[in-house]
Amino acid sequence: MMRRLLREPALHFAVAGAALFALHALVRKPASSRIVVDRAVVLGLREQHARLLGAAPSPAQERELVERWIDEEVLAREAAALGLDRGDPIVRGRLAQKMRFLQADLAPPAEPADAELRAFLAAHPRREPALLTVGHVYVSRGRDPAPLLAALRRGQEVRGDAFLVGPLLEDRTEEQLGALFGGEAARAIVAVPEGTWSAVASPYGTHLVQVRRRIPGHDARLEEVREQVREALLAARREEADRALVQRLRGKYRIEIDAPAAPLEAQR
Amino acid sequence: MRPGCTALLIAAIGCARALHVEPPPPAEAPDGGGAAVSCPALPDVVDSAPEPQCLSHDPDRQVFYGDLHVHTSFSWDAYGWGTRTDPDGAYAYARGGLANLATPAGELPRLSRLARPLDFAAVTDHSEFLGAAAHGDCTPRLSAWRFERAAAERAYDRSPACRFTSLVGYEWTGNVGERWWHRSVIFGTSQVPGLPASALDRNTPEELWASLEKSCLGQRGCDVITIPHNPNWSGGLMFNMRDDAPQRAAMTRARMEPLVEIFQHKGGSECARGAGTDDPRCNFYDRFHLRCAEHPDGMHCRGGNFVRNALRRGLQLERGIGVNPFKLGIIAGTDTHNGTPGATDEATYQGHLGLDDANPRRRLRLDLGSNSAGGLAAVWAEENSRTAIFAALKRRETFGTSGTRLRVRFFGGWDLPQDMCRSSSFAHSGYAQGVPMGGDLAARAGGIPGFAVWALQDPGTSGSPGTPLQQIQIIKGWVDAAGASHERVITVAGAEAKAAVDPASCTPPAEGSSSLCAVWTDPDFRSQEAAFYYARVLEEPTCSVYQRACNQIAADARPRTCTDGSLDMTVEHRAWTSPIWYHP
Repeated sequence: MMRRLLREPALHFAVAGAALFALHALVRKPASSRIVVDRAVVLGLREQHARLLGAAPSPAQERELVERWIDEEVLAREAAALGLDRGDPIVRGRLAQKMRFLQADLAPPAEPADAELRAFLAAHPRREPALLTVGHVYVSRGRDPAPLLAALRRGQEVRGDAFLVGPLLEDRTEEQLGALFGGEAARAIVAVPEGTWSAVASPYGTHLVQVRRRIPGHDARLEEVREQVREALLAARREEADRALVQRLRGKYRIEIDAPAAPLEAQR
Repeated sequence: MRPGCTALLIAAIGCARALHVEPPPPAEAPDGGGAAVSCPALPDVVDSAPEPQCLSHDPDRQVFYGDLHVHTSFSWDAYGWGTRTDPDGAYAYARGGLANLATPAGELPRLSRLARPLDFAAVTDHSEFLGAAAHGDCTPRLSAWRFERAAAERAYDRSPACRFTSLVGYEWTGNVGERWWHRSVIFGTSQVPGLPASALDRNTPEELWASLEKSCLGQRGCDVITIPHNPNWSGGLMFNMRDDAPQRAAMTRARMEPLVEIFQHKGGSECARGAGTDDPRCNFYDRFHLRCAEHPDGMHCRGGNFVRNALRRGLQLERGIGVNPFKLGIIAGTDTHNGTPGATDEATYQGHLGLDDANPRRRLRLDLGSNSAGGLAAVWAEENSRTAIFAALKRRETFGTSGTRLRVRFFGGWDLPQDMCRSSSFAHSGYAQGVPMGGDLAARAGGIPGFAVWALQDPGTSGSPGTPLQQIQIIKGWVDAAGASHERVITVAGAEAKAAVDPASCTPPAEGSSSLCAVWTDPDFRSQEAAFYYARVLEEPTCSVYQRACNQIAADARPRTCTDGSLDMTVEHRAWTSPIWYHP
């Protein structure tokens, strides 16, 4: 698919053509055999170049851009005239997506106020996970961990075995502990009572652990997640506008469904 | 549609409609002509939010796993294969959410979820989708790009828990016929260019870099790297530079490309037997089933296709032009086209190409573009913030895995303690007395470099245990006094595989080690010879993704490829670290 797509840039042009074709149809302008490069086209090319490269094109570059635009325009119109756009799921999906984007650009959602952000967060709470600070002594397979554990519980210093994970893990989530020791070991660490040295098994051996601090999980405050809440709220509003657009446009059509028996039904 | 909206629609398509000839005078301002521009002026995504203050911050660095090669419904080909997961959906999946995969008509819905979320990800849709509309037809291109940036912002965890980092990115899909020189473009900032560069306008890497130099690196608050991917499909073009290449070209390349993707679902790119090496561990998930000893001139056997060959070639070029253009750190990725970053678990693999490989039978076709579940990018960073992750990518403190979450640390130095493997401060000593993976060793009179490497097996999940380790190898490449290139593969810890694979059950082996460590000193070191050293960690063998696909089909209905020997039915999963370079 990718290979075919890359080998046939004509497909790209077909899509562009379909877009033009559809837009022309919308304003009920018949296609013309004249191709005219107007001010708007050239300014658009300049702006695109500037956005991409940070500088306006040189006169020579601009001539090349215009020539390429004409080539594309010719191919796009020919492709549209041949009907290469019809029946193509990519073109269809692309046109639908463009309508959605157009709506999003023409009516961008309003910048939410603080109160709105707070209300949105209250309605869609975000959970901040519990964070554990853990003391850690590793005991390799084949060595009895019991005497070491007993010594730790008496408050003595002990010497564990060398390991790639160090003696103190600060403010880790259960998930992060799972990445270090495996999911079952992490679940066990989360369950040990605070302050008490305990033994936990992993694929690597035994881990003597002491949970020294536990910051409980809590619902996030707006200050902690303002950017994500803002983006999520804007996304929700765009989605709402999008649904409204489709609903409104549906009103222009009489929709008839003439489907065969439901495919999954038919198979039973 | 409301009347006002219709008027705006007509205004918007003004840039696509041709009315009369009258080219305007050349633009004075770099922003391209202000009020006369007919495309609607869109607000940029503003980089105002501060970086998170991560509670979990380790000066000796922690490992984070991610995927920097991810396509969603915003990529043309993925959309064509039926993928409808958008960039938001892909980031949600990376964080542990559920994804709906494209389902062939009449089959039950396909759902997917990661057993372990990723720590970071970049959605890298084809910029050609975003940039392919006719020039001047600006609206969808800008909208899609803005959406990609906003989706990354929505996914980035700026809270102190620092659970997830997103990176804004795209794929630049340049090619010369059937030879691909594709790049992932990854930004380290939320300030990014107004538009992505497209191969339809700029089809060479040099043009891509020139575009990024101006539109990103030349702007305040923007930083970017490009990552060449599946070079195995480049027909020798990916790492192709002449002996008399200008020094400037080599410098540009070295600056823009600190990393290479060594493995993804379109196969491995480390090395191929017959193409400059006879290392039996080459041809890992070999997409082209290469027999380069018999067809040394084949398009897919050229040295420019393989990472190890490029590392060796880079040392040779450096002798001539003073710059190593191929100083490549190592990552891996999936290149999923299902919007499913990090979906590398072979036991639950459902394909990466939408409808095209949506069931086991389709995944056993020899002509399928894809041939595995792909890999992961791992970085050693102080914390999981965008700044820390991107800094690790740029300094190459990275390794790639074939999908497993095994962990490996690798240090080189002149004074590394011999007892590092018996110390609980392995990393601390490594940083204090050496350089980590991706680093440089400068010459020291009379010195002999040592290398310390420690690997832990993937701890697995409760439902799916990790596979024990088999051995650690160090791969050395060097250039001799005559300019000839050499390589050597040395096992420094562990031994050849002990486990036998049961093809019917595919249960993980009990043999092997959960932890391997070694301190190794290069006995053949010569101080005049430039060299690189990287580590390769091998797991015990298991069923390959093909064997698992075959097992999902009734025995009497399996395709020929299940039995005819054309596909490898076992695999040794692995990790490759970034090299450490020695400069005389």
